[in-house]
Amino acid sequence: MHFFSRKNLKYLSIAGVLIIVIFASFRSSNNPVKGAILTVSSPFLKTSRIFFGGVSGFFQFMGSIGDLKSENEKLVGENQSLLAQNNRLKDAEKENQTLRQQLNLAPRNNFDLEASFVIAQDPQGLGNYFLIDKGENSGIKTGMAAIVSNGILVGQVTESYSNSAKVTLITDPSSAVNAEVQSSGAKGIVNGEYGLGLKMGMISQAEVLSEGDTVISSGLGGKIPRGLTIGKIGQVGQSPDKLFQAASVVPAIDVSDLRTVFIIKK
Amino acid sequence: MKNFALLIFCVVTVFFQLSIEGVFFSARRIPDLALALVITLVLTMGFKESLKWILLTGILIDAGSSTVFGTATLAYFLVGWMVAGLIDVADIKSRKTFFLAAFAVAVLVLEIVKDIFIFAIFKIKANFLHEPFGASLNIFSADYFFKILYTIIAAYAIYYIFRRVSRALFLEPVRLVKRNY
Repeated sequence: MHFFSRKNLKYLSIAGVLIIVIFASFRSSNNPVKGAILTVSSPFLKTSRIFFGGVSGFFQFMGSIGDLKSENEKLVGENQSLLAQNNRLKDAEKENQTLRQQLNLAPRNNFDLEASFVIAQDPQGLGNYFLIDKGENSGIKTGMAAIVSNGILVGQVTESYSNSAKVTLITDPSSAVNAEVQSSGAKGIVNGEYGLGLKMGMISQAEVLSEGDTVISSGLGGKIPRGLTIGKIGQVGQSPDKLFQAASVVPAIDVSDLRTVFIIKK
Repeated sequence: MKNFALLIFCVVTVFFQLSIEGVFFSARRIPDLALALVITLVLTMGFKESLKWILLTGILIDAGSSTVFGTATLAYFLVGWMVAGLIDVADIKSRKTFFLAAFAVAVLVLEIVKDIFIFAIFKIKANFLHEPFGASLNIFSADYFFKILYTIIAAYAIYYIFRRVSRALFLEPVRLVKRNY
């Protein structure tokens, strides 16, 4: 068959149109066709995700029945230590309030959170992101931080549609979060690494870092609030140019397996 | 009836890939059901007949994907075209065992080609816009091995489900296409 037959020319022209669409989409992250499809499909994606999540949870529960006794004993022990910790924290909170009053400091802001379900993930498995079932109609905007219930940072909203939004995980190589080591106050930038790890760079050589130190968001830049947990310091080393220290950061949560997240609106 | 059944089949397959698979598989091991569907459609209906369904599947995947809009559509279109070319040079339906092996090899090769293609578009975009490069592809990793394995298994499943559903719902028997696209 001749390559430039009439039939093949038709296929080549379709491929040409698609290449034009790709180049035209390079600069526009909020594609209207994409937005329309996601708006229509979002309720179905949410329903099927919740249903199959329940099915998966049931089978996981059935498979874990044998481990329930040992797990229960472990949880009882953990519960006792958490109760003790809770009492200590209540005491510290009271002390904090008193000190804030004495120093005339404004109370810490409570976040305005929007709970949302994870409804889809990257179908190609190449990027690190997921889609949630809330969008512009619920006040979700690009740049807002996504956390799980206990204040652990998981990502940032990078695209927002009417009823859905795309959250890029902190493990994505394009993600950059201004961070701080809680104990020493050392500041740096946390980036995603290929795979599912994190790396903290741009740390001054004067700072002392220890393995296991907690890394939190520093709030610099204003987009992500201060104090959100990112992970713990792993191996400490040097940046390739030896100008800064760099450390691997073990994420506080497995960000690849999330069902519900909260978006910080304010 | 045939068009409606095909529409439902494509939409359900994409829904599985976008939403439901994430419940059961880790993010980097998600089987590519859309690729399996494209290969199945071209093998059973021919490239010309299945073209609109391939484009629809690609657009739906693009809507929920991190790729530049149009990339998945073009990738699946090219995969479909390649499968049609494959049928043209090799009668892979001749024997059952040969078909099973040829089908698996076709899925393996086309999945790698498709992922490299999508990765290249990511890279071109990042260079073009001077922005951070946010995708990773490691063909020699355990995750990728399992992704391919699951995709091959899914492709067998989709092929046989499609053949059965098409016989039951499409009223007219599905044409087996060979050397004619």
